[in-house]
Amino acid sequence: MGDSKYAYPTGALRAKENTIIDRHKINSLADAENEYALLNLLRETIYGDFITEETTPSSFENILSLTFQRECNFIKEITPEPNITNLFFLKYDFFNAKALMKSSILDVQTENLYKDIGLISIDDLKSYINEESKPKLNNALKETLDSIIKDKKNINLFEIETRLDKSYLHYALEQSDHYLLLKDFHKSWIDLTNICSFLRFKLDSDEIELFKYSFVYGGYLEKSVFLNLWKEEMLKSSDFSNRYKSLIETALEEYQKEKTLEIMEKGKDNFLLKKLQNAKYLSFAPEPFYAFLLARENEIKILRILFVGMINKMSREKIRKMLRVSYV
Amino acid sequence: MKSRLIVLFLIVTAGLILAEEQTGISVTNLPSSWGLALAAFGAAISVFLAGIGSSMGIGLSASAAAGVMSENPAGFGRYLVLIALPGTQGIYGFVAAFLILQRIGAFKGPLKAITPDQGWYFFFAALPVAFACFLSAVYQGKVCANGIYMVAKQSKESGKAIVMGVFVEFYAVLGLLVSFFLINAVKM
Repeated sequence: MGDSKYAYPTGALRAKENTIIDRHKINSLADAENEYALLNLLRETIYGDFITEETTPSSFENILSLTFQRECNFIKEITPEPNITNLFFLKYDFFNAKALMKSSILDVQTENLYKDIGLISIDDLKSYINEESKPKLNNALKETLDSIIKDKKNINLFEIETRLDKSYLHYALEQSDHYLLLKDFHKSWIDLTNICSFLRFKLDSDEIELFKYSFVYGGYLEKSVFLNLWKEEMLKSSDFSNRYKSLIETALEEYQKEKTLEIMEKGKDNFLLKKLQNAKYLSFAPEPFYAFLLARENEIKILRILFVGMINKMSREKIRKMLRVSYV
Repeated sequence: MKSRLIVLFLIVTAGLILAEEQTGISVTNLPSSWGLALAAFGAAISVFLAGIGSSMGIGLSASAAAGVMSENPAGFGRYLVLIALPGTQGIYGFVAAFLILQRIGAFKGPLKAITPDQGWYFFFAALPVAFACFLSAVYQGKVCANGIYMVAKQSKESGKAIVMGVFVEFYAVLGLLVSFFLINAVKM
């Protein structure tokens, strides 16, 4: 009986979901007088386990990463479908691979970028990229890294990042084929990635070849839709799809005023999180476990924005503008 | 679940056909000693299926509660009724079996002489409670597990969660009632 394997883990997850910071709490955190008051407010949450009397706001990154690490380990322990939750952790392997390739090609230090919550350790990944050893990697990652290593002399950073991003999204979409909610999530993710690239290349540089190269197949929007729009002088949100209309509308308005597409990244995060919010209503399925990880990751992004904003004395209005929506 | 029931039905049918071929005795023309065996089979199947259903249902709801309490040990009392609710179907199955056994004289004195027709009647009389309890217990287990998840988030909503579970219980009660009337309708 398939449902029985989910009963216990889902129970543990539901209890754990109560620790996700809701929108009211986020509002009160955003209203904190300064970063010290913010730190004090965080003591009442699960982040408080890593806050001592000596902790200062400047060590927020440590608090956030330790908490996230613990939450990831919790999911790794209880998940009944590791192949689905591993998609989330694999994202960090691809991220680390990008940082390591960047470090290897540009000969710069990228150690502060690594996130040690992937499926493979940073050291193993590093030794694979430097061709020192052959630790077991995910097939999609291995194939992409092999192709990059093969073309190492003739490849630039943009191509490396694009190849890794495309490979991850294709793999994630393929793995989530039997899970409607996750399939929809990944298809939307692909669309939003394509929309971001389209707007960036069209509005900033008018480089159609770069867009063609970075296009990821598998989303709801076909490549032809974008190529036809490329010829348009004035972009309208209705040209894309009703699904993303309001998101693109906001991004285009923002671009008109500020000449930046930063709002698109926030919109993308919010859109994808909202997609997975329906996982709250699934009981005997792997999606809630993936959604919990995404919700915690999103919460950490929110806290990082609050800390960075308050430490750098940014205006409240600007901080609030950057905040993502909460899962609960 | 449906496919398993179909497999169970096919196995029973195949068993009956095989038995008919091997012994040369038709299921509609059995020797008189088979009456008692069929009645006993009816009693057994009502306990067997209802018991399995209840075990599966409680297994699901108890696992859900254990999962919630692994992270938040408080509130066992709130989950207790929801854990126990799928267990009632096992009791209904037992009650039906008890009635059949009582009618065939299993508790007092020698067993009664029962014709194959009467045996078949007892057997079919046991089926409503057996199948209604088996399926309702499993589904009630799912509803109760979801109720437990709801109470884990909204601790004041345990009443609503219990009411939702009780709706599923209703059909097990109907199964028991029909079996009760059928068992008592057998003329001895």
